[in-house]
Amino acid sequence: MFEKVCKILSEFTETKAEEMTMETLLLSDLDMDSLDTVNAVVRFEDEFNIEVPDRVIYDFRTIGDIVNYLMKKSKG
Amino acid sequence: MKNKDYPLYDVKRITTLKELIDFRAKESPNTAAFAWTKSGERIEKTYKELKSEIEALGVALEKRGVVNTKVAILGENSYYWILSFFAVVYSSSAAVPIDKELSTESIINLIKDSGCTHLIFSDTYSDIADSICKSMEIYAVNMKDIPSLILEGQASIDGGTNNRSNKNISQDTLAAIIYTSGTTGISKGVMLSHGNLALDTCSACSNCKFYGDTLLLLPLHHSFGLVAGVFVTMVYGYTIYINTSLKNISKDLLAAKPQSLFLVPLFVETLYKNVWTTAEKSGKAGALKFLIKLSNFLLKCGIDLRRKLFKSVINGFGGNLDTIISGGAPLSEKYIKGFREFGINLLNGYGITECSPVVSVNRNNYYKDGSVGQVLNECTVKIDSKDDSGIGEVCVKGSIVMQGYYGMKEATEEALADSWFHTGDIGYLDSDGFLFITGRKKNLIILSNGENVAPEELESLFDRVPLVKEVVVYESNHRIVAEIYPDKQYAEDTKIDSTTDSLNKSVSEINKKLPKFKQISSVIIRDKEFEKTTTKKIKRNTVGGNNNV
Repeated sequence: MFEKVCKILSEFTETKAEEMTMETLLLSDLDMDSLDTVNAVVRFEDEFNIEVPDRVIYDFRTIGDIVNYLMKKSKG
Repeated sequence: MKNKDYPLYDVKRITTLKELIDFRAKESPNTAAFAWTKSGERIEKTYKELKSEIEALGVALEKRGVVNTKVAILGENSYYWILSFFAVVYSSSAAVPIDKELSTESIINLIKDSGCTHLIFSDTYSDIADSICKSMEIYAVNMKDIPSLILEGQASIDGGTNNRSNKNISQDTLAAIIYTSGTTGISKGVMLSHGNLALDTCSACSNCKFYGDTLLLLPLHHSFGLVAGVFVTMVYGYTIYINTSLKNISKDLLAAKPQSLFLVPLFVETLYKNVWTTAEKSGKAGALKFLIKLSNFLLKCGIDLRRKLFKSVINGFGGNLDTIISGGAPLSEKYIKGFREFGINLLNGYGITECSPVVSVNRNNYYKDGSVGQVLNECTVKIDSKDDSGIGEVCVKGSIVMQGYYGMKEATEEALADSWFHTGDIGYLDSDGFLFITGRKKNLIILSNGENVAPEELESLFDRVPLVKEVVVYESNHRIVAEIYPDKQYAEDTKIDSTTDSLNKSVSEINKKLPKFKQISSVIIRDKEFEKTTTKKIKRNTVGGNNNV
């Protein structure tokens, strides 16, 4: 899951997937603005066949937030 | 049509929001006022249905005490959000739109500060609504109950009950309290009357004409989103397609086929960059660049083929887009020129919530790049305390100026000193009446020699330095400092060995063109981007000059 998330995020940022960690910040470290994050979430929805409500997107601060949410969602 | 002055567009002068609804329901009853997609299906509400539902919901809310009071509205953009807003203001009450991205604590403080007795919330935010209800006495209505409230209200109307309080709505009736986010200082509740909002809307329409439907992308709790995104299109009687999730922007553009869009620079920049990203991915970037050169050449010869040459680009926006209005923050001229090259007229405007919010906008066929346009006919702008270049504080007077800050007498008196609203923005009017904004008064750098420098003016000079991604200029120890967040990707792509050396060289070039007192003394390079407000403006009070890096 973590690797897949990083690979998708690397499409929206200059940072390489292998340089990302669970603590990497989307805004400060990856330079992803709110619209970049929304676009990445659309890719997650396609990749993992789930739906992420808009409100949850605003709470994503780190890659770990995304991974934990997706893992929780896929278990549920 | 040539870029030259021409008479204002003829627009009916509407003085209340109630009149706006009544007028449109009478003139275009069967035109869709709003449309949106739900579970893959397009849903529409005509202007006639809109009015009928506003009245029915208004009666149901009045039964629950919504009479001459204040009602907070919390939720994502939706038809029910808009319906709630109109039902509240149609019942002589004031709506208090809430920024849903604020923390629960901030939302509670804001609702307490505004003196709201009622809250209308979307189910998405029911947890916040619960916290609000636990911390204060307030009557809460979930938007998912609106259909049953409409039925209840309609039954009352059919039984002879009507909105009792809305007969007293006048131009001066308070319609909304909109909280300003502000890059510094505390939030202030800006009191806007029916007249403020309705007249600003009509006046903006006199400057700028819109044809066809729009897609609502801006958040409704912002005055620009509400006035430009909703009221302006209603004046013309077109359809407002509601984007209910930013995830669906591309799909909604294709579904709505908007002819006009009202955006903030973040959206403008993203849409523009998407054009190029798509072109690069499909290997057509080179061809696109060639077509732009060809088109620009043909334009010089008086041949305009842009809508044909860039049909595929325009189709990405639904196929009809010809006008974009940008406001809310400064916009780089690069995007204005870029969209114009595709045949889409991007017009920059200027506004401030305290002025309902639009003060000026470039006109469809009379515009100047770098300017925020011609001042609306409902207000007068004067430049206060001008310097030798005619630059000073932009002050506004007229029917669009707010009633005051809610519960803040001193702040109101200060802002409305000598009956002019002092915007705190620095700018000038040129000989053709175009307004130019050069900076913010409260960010002014006042040097020890008494000279004043607007940091934004210096920051704009970095627009032409591609290595600079973000920059904030401030004063430190009587020196002007430029703190820069460099574009690492650009440095990598162009194989720049030393970012520091390259930036210092650029600053030297900039300094050569500046008078001595404006020159930048030192450069600080930062690893992380600047902290932003929820409206994506850099929080200046957290940057170097304020000792909080």
